[in-house]
Amino acid sequence: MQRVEDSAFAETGRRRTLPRKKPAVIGLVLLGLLAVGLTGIKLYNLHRYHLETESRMMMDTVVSIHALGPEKITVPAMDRAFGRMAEVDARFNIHNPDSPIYAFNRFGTPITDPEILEVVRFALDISRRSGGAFDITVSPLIDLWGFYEDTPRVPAASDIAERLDRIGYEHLILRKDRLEKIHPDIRIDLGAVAKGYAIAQAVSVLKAHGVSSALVDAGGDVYALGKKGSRYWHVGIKGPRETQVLGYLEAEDTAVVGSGDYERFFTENGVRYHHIFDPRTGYPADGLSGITLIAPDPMAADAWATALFVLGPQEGMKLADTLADIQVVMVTTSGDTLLSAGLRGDTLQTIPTTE
Amino acid sequence: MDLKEGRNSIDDGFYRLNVLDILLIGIILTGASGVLLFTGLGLNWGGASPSEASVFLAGRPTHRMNLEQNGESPLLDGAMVLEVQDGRIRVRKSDCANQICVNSGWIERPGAVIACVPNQVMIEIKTEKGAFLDAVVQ
Repeated sequence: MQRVEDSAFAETGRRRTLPRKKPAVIGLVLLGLLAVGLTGIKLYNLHRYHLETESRMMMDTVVSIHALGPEKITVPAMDRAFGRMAEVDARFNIHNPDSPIYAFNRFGTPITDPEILEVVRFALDISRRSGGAFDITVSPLIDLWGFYEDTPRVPAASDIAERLDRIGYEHLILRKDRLEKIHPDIRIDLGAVAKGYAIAQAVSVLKAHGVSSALVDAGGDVYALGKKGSRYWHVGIKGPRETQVLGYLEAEDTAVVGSGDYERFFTENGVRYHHIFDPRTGYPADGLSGITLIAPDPMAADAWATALFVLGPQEGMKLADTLADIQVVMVTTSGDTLLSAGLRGDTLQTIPTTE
Repeated sequence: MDLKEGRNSIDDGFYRLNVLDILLIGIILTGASGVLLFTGLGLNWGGASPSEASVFLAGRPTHRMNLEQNGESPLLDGAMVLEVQDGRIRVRKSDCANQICVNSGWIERPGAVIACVPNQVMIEIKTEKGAFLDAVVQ
């Protein structure tokens, strides 16, 4: 034992005769260790911050989910989130014969599904607070204008007046455990809230399965969960008439939802008619061409986007300023951009030109 | 004792920096920043400029469109026509009912998508390293 130590000493002693080479050797070894260490960190980060993206077609649009994290966690979580959204889509789709809404609209069968009742209760609250600008019974009007089929057209004024008698949320009776209607012609379409509800459901499924950083994008209605690693999620806002975006927001734990006159529309005799109807007049809402809402709850953002769009720039912005937690960007038909009181001037940032 | 004497820079436990030490620190710092820049630690830095769009039919990627090459290409036996112009792409024509895909207009931003749900077609601008914008609200 003693001998071994001696020989080790002897060897160091010998090496000491070449002292100038030593720091270089140590330096190279340390550098090597550093490279191995940093590559290790890189591999770990690639695993830890892996960005998984998947898109599926549902709810009449493309739904994309981006999730950051180990694939072992994100992939199954995303699959379940998509599954949940498909469930919501099927349950709330007015054209699906298996949906309780289909039976309610066609045959007057009361709705007892607790999930639908929850969304209806929420929608009716928005209807009351918006003075009827938001109305889930507007469906016969959309039908009359042909927006459910291939050939939208401007109907006769008398037909519109006649349909207006057959819509109105006050014709619905929401009891504790069932939804009924007074007038047999009343039909409901939860399209203006169901997408927000589906996004909220997807987000809670992702969270429940361990995802803390994700972006759910349902055809341009977005929820940002957490941050994208070390930076915020960048959510662009598109101007209604151009391909360029107006700017972007740094989003974390918030929904950003848009509505506009540019997605579904037709032109007749030089006039543009879009699909967001004012339930009080029977015609497409006037005054705004686009609206973006920023709110913590995607369902509230979705419903208020429609409600405030219908109310228009003056009345809509006045109401928006009284709503807690909701911020609004409006673009009027004359091209002006309006921001709600809570939005600082620099909330909408311009995109760096390096992109 | 023997060891201590051999190193002239060790003086009763006090270590004095000599030129070689400074050189060594220099090498390590230069090397480290090099390695750091090279590996990037796997963090998401920078973006890539797009030059390609992917076309998906019923969820499967089927075509790649070069966005540098202007022109039109029919899809689904002419049921849809895609048009490429100066790095951007749009659906110029579609036989679908609502024409949402045609109304979507041009897209050029990495990650931007046009979808035609009735035809089960999706067009997406390719991103290599991740786009600056994660989503666009419309």
